Amino acid sequence: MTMIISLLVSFAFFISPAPSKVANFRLNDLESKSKTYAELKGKKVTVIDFWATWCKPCVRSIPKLVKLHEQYKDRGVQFIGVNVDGTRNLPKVKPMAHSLGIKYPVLLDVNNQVMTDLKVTQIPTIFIVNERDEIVAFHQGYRPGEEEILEKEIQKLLPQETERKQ
Amino acid sequence: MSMRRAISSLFLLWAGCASAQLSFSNLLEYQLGNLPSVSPRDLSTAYNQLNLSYRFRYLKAFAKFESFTHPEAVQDYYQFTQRGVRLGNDKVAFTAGNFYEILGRGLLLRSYEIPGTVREDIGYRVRHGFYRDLDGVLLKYQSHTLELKALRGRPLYNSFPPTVASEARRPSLVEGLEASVRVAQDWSIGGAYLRNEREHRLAKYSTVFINANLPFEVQLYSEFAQQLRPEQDLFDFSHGSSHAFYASANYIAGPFGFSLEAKDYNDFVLLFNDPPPLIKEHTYVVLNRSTHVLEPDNESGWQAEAFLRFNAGHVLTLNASQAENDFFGRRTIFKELFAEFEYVLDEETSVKLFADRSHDPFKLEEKREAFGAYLDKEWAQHWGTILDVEYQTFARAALTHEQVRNYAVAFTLARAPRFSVGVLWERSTDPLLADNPASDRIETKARHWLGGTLGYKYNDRHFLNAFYGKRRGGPTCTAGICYEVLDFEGLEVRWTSNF
Repeated sequence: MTMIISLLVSFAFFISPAPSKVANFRLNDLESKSKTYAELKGKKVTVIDFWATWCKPCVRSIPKLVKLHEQYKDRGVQFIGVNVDGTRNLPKVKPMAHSLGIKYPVLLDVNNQVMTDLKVTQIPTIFIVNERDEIVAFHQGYRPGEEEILEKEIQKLLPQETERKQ
Repeated sequence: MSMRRAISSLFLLWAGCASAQLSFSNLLEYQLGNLPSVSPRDLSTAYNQLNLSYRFRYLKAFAKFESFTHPEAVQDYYQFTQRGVRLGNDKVAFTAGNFYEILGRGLLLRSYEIPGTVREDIGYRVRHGFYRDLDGVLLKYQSHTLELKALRGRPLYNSFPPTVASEARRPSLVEGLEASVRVAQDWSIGGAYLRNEREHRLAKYSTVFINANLPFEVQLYSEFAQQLRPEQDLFDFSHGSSHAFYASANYIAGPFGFSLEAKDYNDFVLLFNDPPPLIKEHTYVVLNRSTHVLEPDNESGWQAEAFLRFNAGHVLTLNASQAENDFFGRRTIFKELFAEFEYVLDEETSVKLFADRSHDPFKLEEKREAFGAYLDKEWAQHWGTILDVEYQTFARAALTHEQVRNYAVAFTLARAPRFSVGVLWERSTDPLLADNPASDRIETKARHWLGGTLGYKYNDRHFLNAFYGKRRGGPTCTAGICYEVLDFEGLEVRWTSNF
């Protein structure tokens, strides 16, 4: 019975759906200041990365995200790190974010509230969100080379270089 | 109203609202196999978790449907284990139904979900989602300067699976209030009051906390929680009082980062709280399994961690922790020292080396030492490989004069973004694991576990993970929460979908 239910549900998913949207949320940042998604999001693209200090693939992926952020921050692309460490590792998040070279905002989802809302079941999970707050791509886990795919997805949402010059 | 009617109404609402958003996520986990030395054998079981949510402007309705199929029908269940509505925006919100919340840093109350984790207890042999929520109502207000929470609900005791009566799974009723105020640009203070009623017995608790961002990139947090009872003074740290004290500080300067934490918990097992344990949460297999599990009934101690990042991208991490327990006059001290150095050879290659030394009398493991290496290499065409080699040894003087040895070797080959395949081998000479409790003899030969994994991403919405072989169980910590994983041998397939 369980198998039948899940297979039916899963096959239904093959229908091409409308993109999911990110609803505005509020969390504290590394300075314990309350910030909303609406205040932080990028003009063109927002990349939301769910990570934790204990997660090896997260820590491997962050230096690549830091590079992408440096590369695209002046083109309307904002990166937001959402740390899901919970209370156990909270004091280590700021020093570790610093040691990983993160320059973009990091929000603390101590309660996994945003993680649950966006149905994140594995970390890292990286969402690419367009200017209408629609999730246009998402990546579960991190495999080396995934940052090149992320970059292509970001570029697709940006006006071409020639259009920009015009 | 029947559940069927409720679901139909939900779909009608969805159909009627063009700007509404209905989303699902589904997790199916199928197992064919055994727990070693445990009967019945060759079980074919399936667990499914379906999460539904409907959002329309300021309204969100949600439900979690879990099911489990077992050859013995008495262990089957098909249940809506969560449901509710949330009305509000990023400032003010009202939730009725199941919700997650925290007061302070969790000394008094913390509910959580570990998404993607499925729990099974050897006593029940029933799999279920790993979460500890509250069922009731929550009113929350958040702004840049003020945060208010009021809640009333029944916390879930998640060691019991959904086959157990809901009265036993949610035996107590808690009511709580919390307020925290930003009193200056970099200072905030707060407090909470909580009452817990269980079997007509009432217990009252309070907590106060302070959070500060000081000059020179120093951050401080301190919290003191206690039970409110006539015989106990305020801020009573004595051995007979029911209290929990936690403090943390962190500091960054250039490439250097440092954190320091202290704890003093006594008689503070509330079953719905989760005080910070101040023990390193390791990512290495042999170290994660050896974790010291917090005993809020009586534990004090500290933890310090430092990071140093070098210009070339190398990172040095040092961690030291100590936990003291005193039960019935027997004092035990857990100590751990951990060092890790990540060396970046080039853009595509990095290696992490670690060493760990600990002493855990609570587990009868003395002079525990571990070493290992983790090599990560990227190849052309989005291919990548990871090699993880770990070794651990300790004395278990109560059972054997010989040193216990644990080995773990894992190799993963992946091609982004779709595919990964891996193999994990473990070996242990621990006499607690070598002996088969189902046989009359006392086995002493080392045990081996060999398993293979496969990960495949069909598209952005469907992910398949498979495991075949033998998996070693034991304590594990995920997202800061420690629990017991059962040994398994056989096939496990997991399919997750998002829509």
